[in-house]
Amino acid sequence: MYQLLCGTWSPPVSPDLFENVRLELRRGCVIVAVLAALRSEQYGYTLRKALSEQGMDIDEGTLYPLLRRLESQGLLSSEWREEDKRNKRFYRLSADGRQVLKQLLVEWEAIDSALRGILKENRRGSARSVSGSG
Amino acid sequence: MEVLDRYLEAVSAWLPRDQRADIVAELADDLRSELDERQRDLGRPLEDGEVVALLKRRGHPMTVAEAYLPSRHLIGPAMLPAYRRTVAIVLGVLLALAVVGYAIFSGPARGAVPALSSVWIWIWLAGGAALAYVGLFTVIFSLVEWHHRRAQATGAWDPRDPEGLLGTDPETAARRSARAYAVVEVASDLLVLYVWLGVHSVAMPTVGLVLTPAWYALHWPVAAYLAASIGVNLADALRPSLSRRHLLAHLGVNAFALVLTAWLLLAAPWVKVVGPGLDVAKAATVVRWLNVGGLVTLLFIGVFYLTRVVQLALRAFDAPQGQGRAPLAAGQ
Repeated sequence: MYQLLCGTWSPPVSPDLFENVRLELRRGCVIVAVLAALRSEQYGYTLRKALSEQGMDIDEGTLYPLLRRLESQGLLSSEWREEDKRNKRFYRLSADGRQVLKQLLVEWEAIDSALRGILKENRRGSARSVSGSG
Repeated sequence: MEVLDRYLEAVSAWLPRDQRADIVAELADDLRSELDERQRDLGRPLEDGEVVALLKRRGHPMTVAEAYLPSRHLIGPAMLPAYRRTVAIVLGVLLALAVVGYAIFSGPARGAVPALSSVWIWIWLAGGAALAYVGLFTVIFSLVEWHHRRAQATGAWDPRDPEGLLGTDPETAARRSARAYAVVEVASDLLVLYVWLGVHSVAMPTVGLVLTPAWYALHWPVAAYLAASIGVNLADALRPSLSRRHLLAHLGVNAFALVLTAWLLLAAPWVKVVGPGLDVAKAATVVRWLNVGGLVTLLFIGVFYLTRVVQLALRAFDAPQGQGRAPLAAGQ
């Protein structure tokens, strides 16, 4: 009620809108996560489980086409092998993939530090405006 | 596992032939791994309903296959609103024509052409024309889309060329408008030509309204006019211009149309009733009104072409020589 009276209240963001923005934010991160996870060889199902256990859920409809695309770009290599009496396709980071992952991690660090800086600035700004208005 | 095999088969049907086996084998392994794990967790074999629920969560086979395919479309998001607007206008005009036609031939002119008094024939005619026009505009819009995509892919566009960027300044808008007008002219002329060339092959009714011989004498001249109009407008669609050569070409085509209109005006009447067993008085009334309608229409068309011929003659007189790229006014 206080927020409503003081004009600081805003209606809740629709879940669909948040979901769309969240997916956009995750899109690039998923590639980095997949490349990083494939520094050791894995097949699709175990890769999905491993990523999920680390808090990076990727549905199959995204993961498998992504793996194929990364392989066609030369960032991954794969081979079919039998395991547990079933044929499985094992993926592994290629030499090019290792190079690209290294560059992506540098980029990731830069984005992370830039974002932290921006968020810190914003916090200082809003703290100043609160103390100014008081 | 019958349900799973059927599902995989359905997915494979949507995949490109050369990647089908590879993708389906990987998908099958992933699904079986998930089913095995679920069985291990539950300590019992899965029931059919549980397998179905898992497959439904994965998505419809077409959706699953789509994720593996490159994103392709005939008409992209930028062109789609204009395409929808065009199709809506075309369908609206055809619907209005069909309603008016049906109202005339099932009301005042009932019995003049018996077949046209049925609502089904108008649905059939309007439906056929709608399919032809929508198909034609789909081809035109997808060609424009393809052209822009190719320009983007090959870098064959120039930020200094406002037309290539679809700019909104008056000169660019006028040029674009002229191009759109020319494209519509080519499309409608092609359709009219297609119908016109088929007129001779259509068996005329032995009872009811028929066209008089004047129309048959004009068969090839009108076909020649349409072919010339298609040629001139095609040139405009590719390179809108106000050069004297372009204007003289338009002038020639419009003057030819004016002559044909005058010829047709002098050849009245344009329809007659044939066949025995018709109510003579009623048929005479229908023919009289149709010919009056024809006279008004032809006079209107004649005035339209006369105005254009005068306008084009004046512009051609003032226009620069050669292949100038001055913009055409909208509607030119």
